[in-house]
Amino acid sequence: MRLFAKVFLCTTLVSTLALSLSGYLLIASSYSDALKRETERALDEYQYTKFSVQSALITGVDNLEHTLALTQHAQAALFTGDGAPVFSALPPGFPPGIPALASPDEVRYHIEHIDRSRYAVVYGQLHQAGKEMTLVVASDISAISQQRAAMIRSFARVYLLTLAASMLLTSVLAALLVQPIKGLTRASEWMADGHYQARLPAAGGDEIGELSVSFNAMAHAVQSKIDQLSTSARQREDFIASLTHELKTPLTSVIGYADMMYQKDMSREDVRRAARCIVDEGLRLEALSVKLMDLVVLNHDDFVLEEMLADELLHDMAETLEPMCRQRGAELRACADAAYIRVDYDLFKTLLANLIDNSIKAGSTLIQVSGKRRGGHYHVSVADNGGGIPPADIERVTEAFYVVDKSRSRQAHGAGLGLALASRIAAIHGAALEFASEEGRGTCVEMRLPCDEEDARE
Amino acid sequence: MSRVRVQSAAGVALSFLVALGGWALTNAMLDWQEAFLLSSAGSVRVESAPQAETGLAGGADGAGLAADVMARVVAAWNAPGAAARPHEPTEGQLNMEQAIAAAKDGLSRFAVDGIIPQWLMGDEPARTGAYLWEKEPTDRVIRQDSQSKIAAKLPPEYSYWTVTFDNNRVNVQLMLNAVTGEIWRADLFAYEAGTALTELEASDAVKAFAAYLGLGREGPVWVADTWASQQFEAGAVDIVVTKGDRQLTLRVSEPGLHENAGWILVKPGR
Repeated sequence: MRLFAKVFLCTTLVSTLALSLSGYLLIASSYSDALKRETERALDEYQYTKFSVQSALITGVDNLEHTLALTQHAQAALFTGDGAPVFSALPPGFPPGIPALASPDEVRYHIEHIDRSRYAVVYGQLHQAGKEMTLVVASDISAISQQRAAMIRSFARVYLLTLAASMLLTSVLAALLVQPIKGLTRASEWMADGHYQARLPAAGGDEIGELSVSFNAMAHAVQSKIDQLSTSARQREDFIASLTHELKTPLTSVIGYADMMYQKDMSREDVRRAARCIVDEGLRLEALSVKLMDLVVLNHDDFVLEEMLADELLHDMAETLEPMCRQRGAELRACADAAYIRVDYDLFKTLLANLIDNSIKAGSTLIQVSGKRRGGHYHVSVADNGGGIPPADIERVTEAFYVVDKSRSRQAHGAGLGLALASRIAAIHGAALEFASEEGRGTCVEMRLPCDEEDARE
Repeated sequence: MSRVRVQSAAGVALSFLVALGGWALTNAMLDWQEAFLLSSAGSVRVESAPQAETGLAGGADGAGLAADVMARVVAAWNAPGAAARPHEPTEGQLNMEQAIAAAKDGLSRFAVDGIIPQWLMGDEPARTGAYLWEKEPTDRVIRQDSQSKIAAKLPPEYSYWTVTFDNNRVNVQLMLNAVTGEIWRADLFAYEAGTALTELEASDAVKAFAAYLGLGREGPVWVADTWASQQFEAGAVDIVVTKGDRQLTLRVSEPGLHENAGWILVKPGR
């Protein structure tokens, strides 16, 4: 059953119950009170009529019927002690005879229904001037039945109007209630069709509004995950393509030179040059395999970081790497603030070596390694005056096998794995590599390592 | 049409059935209640005082009430909004024969004192009516009377007999205290114009009526053309007499209520 129908049914049920009950209680209570009041009035009329009859008997008036007519209470009858009627002015259709009384002091009453009228009949015994009689007085109480019928008619109108208004209002409210749920259903279906950008308007602070907000958050998370998975899949494809290419290129050279040496008679000099090429490509393949191995190894998170003095660490590393730089025509400078940082010595050295190697490959002549303590972080940066990175490439430089200048990289035996490796090592240290580069002027790579200010050495 | 749509349509149809069913049920319950109420019968036991053949009933020795009690009773009779109901005489109250006898006795005293003409006593009334009334206790009366606070019913002296004598010349309506049998109000109306209902001046009639009631310690008197009023018992009650063409009224009143504070003889009406 639709929610609309459920709400409609429930509201109608509750409204009907409330209206019926309140209407019944109102009319029943009003009728009961009116009947009680009329019965009391009938008893008063009986007493008044009794006084009139008694007065007449005391003063010896014979025409009792005339006396009662004067009192304007003519719907009465008087019977002698043996049941013979003295006079009767009861309405036509009244049952003949005298109802039985339990005792002379008892006055009884009941309701008599004659034709379309109702009478409260009161009767009792009367003793006066040595006579014993029975007096019956009938009071017309049809008015209260007519009032009751009028009340029921009025209530019927109220009942119908209220229920109609209730149903109309319920329809509108149910439609308003169901509308956002329908929107949610449509958005879900749209999302199931692959439209992950589907969102709901977050209106109101009620449960449905909260559901919309929650749905939007879920849709956002799904969309992000899908984007992430797409990027990951694309990167994997690129990785495989790059790896294939990186393997194929040196292998082609190796196979080509080897085939040439096998099939042709070559001079000693040519053989040496071919062998040299084979060795170079072999070394490149070896370097490639080592770095790939490192990347695989770095996917494990079971590294133990040790607290070390940053300035000593950076100076020590710079000293170790300085000959390599000098050999490749670059000057390496290092300056560092004193602080304790938590690092894995070998990994951190690999990180710096890769960054410096990258700077050298970018044609830098001056490389500056810095360590600065700012707030709760220790900023380690490697700045160079190389060719720089085009803005469009900055986002992808940490992807495996991604190279900015392919020809230069090839000459330098690069495979595009250095920065990927460095990025992974930075992540192991709880940091990320941030690149700031200007084409033709140089690049600065910075990372922020956690550092306690209290631990800073004076 | 899908199953859900069929169920929804059935739900809406059921709603209308529920509405109609609610109406039918309400009507059935109302009819049942009416049948139950109309078929019920009841009885009331009337506790009346023993009938006395002559003289006043037990406790009603003719002695007047104290002035302060008289003032309270009159205030209760005059209380606005308090309905009067006829009832059987109870212990300490006059029965009908005694009330009529007391009324006739009182009128004889009035005739002797000159309040009403002697010829009036010679006419035998064609019609006589006597009715005993009790007033519903109002909050004001209950506050004033400690006994009625407990009983939730006014004491017997708060009831009154209205006795009417009527012939072709004069209609006399008397209001008697149900315990003492004293006439506390008398309204006389002559059917013929020019009929003198008293030979006394209003101020003299006041004194004569006060003497009948045994009131003393006279206070200030107000006299106008058609009425006179005087305080008695150190201002506890007023006696007011109004004389008019074909009309004479003598009454006990609350202090300070003069001409305009009229009493109304109440009969049960529809």
